[in-house]
Amino acid sequence: MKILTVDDSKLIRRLVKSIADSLDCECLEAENGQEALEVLEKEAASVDLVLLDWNMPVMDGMSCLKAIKADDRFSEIPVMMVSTESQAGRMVQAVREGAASYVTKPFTREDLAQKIIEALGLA
Amino acid sequence: MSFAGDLWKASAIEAMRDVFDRLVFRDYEEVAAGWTESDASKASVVRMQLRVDPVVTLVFAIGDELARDLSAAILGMDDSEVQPEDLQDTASELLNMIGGEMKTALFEKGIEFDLGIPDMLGVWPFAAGDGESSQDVVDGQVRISGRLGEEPVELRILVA
Repeated sequence: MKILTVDDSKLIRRLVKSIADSLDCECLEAENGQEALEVLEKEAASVDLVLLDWNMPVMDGMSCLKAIKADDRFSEIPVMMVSTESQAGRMVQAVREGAASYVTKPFTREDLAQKIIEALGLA
Repeated sequence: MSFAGDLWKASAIEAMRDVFDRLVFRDYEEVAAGWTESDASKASVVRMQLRVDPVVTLVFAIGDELARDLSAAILGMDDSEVQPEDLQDTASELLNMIGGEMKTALFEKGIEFDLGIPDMLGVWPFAAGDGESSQDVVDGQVRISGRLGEEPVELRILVA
């Protein structure tokens, strides 16, 4: 299985990659929403899950989520939004725009691994 | 909008307690003595501007040894595997998390803002000895000094 992690934080990308490695999944990386769309242009058919940070430069996560869901080539890929913000309104907005789930930072490695396992249906 | 320094300070302290507890199960403790020149010489320093009127800037500094511990904990690796560039990444991500928790807490108090993108300062931008006094809301600046064990952490909230 293949995961795309989209985050301007190298630390979070490395965390997701290490979790993916432990699950025998391949991990693709992008630093912002624009890069994520470029990766999906090439890899959409094989990506099983997108982990999408909200607050990023160039193109933020919400703009990227809308672009993913508006494109028939990508729209079926489940997107897990990742954010430091836990207001209910934000979560509702993400789900309304098509996010499959919403994860709030800070999280432990174990917390995030469990969310990824659930999202990939590996539980 | 006037600057409600006490609310910002309380939200920042609570955010730091929560972030450190949830990430590494360690207690954040406020201390009266602030950031020293010695602390600043071996620290990672990052800044984030918040989109609010008046403009608010968060400056966050964390001792390198603590940043190393946190990097290792977050990545699930040994301290010895942490690279120097990981320390700044960790400081940036911590400030992002603290800012996010402050945003949520202050939203409930009627204060709304958007987070900016953390950027690295590299050096502590305040005068040596500036952190000697206890944390207070003074001249549009909130100073919050703390420790995790022996390791120093400092957050300044600056109002334009």
